[in-house]
Amino acid sequence: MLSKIKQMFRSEKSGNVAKNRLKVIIMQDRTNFTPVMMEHLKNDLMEVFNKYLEIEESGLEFNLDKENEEVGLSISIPIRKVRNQRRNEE
Amino acid sequence: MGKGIVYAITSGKGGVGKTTTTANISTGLAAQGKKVAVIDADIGLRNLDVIMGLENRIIYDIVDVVEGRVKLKKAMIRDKKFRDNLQLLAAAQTREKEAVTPEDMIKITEELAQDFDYVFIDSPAGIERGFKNAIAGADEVIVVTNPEISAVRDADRIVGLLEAAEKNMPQLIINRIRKDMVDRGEMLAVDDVIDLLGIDLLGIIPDDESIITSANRGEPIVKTDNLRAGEAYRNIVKRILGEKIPLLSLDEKRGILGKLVKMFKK
Repeated sequence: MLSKIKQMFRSEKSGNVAKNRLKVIIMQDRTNFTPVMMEHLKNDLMEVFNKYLEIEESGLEFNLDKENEEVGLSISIPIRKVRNQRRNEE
Repeated sequence: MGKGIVYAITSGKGGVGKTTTTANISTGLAAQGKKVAVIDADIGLRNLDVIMGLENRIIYDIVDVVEGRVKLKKAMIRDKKFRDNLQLLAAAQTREKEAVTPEDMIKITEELAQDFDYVFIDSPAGIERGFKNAIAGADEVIVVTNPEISAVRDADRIVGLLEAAEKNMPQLIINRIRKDMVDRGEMLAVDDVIDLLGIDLLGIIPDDESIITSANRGEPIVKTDNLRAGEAYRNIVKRILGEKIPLLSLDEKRGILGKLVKMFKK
């Protein structure tokens, strides 16, 4: 009885749960992109960006997104300021 | 006759209705007067012959053709009703998938496409040799899935593999949809599946127990006028022939009268 009442109040339907789980699963299948790889990529990129920019680290966003048929990596980097660094011209 | 179109029907996951779909689409096209060849590429687990009610007629199979024991034309099994217009090349039951190569399949499908308007290949489940064989000679691919999480995931893998194999964008059939469950929000809806897979929809098939009874009889349901799954398959056949047919409404229309009509038809 109690479990039935609980079930009634459980808000999300299983069809929607399936859809949201599939979005993530399919994205990972398609890209073969593991969370560990994501972390490495993030660290490597940060090293590069840090040479030129001072970054607001708390606002960093790294996400796998699906746009139309393509899965893409969207990166949002809040910039505090541009570093005043002299580059060696090649 | 010019060159026919070769279709592969595949899914990744087993048990979603590839063989039923192959039997129904090919039978439906034959009923429309087209000349259709069907190949069972599921070597070792053949079933297309059973679904089409042709199991007693098999003399030669695809491996006999590949290994040169018989000419392709002689290995083709004619359908009881549609005769020359619907012919099956059976899978070998006691061999393995490796007995046939993708190159063999290309040769066979090219030869059949000379004589037939359509060639349909029923792919086995999986993504290994059997699948590679099935798509090797295909101009077009139909991906069959159910509105179930594992079937949709596997379908997406197949879509990715087809893309990697540089095939045309596949078309989707969503099979065994239960309207009552979709309405309650407990089943993936048609739009969800299309959205997730990102390929064009060829048709939807409602879950219908007549699929099982028609398989019991070896008579594809597409031949039966008043059954909803049969209608759904006929719609798909018309779309393949280039007609613009709206999607089947999933509403159950079958009241007491419909049930009586069904009883008397049997």
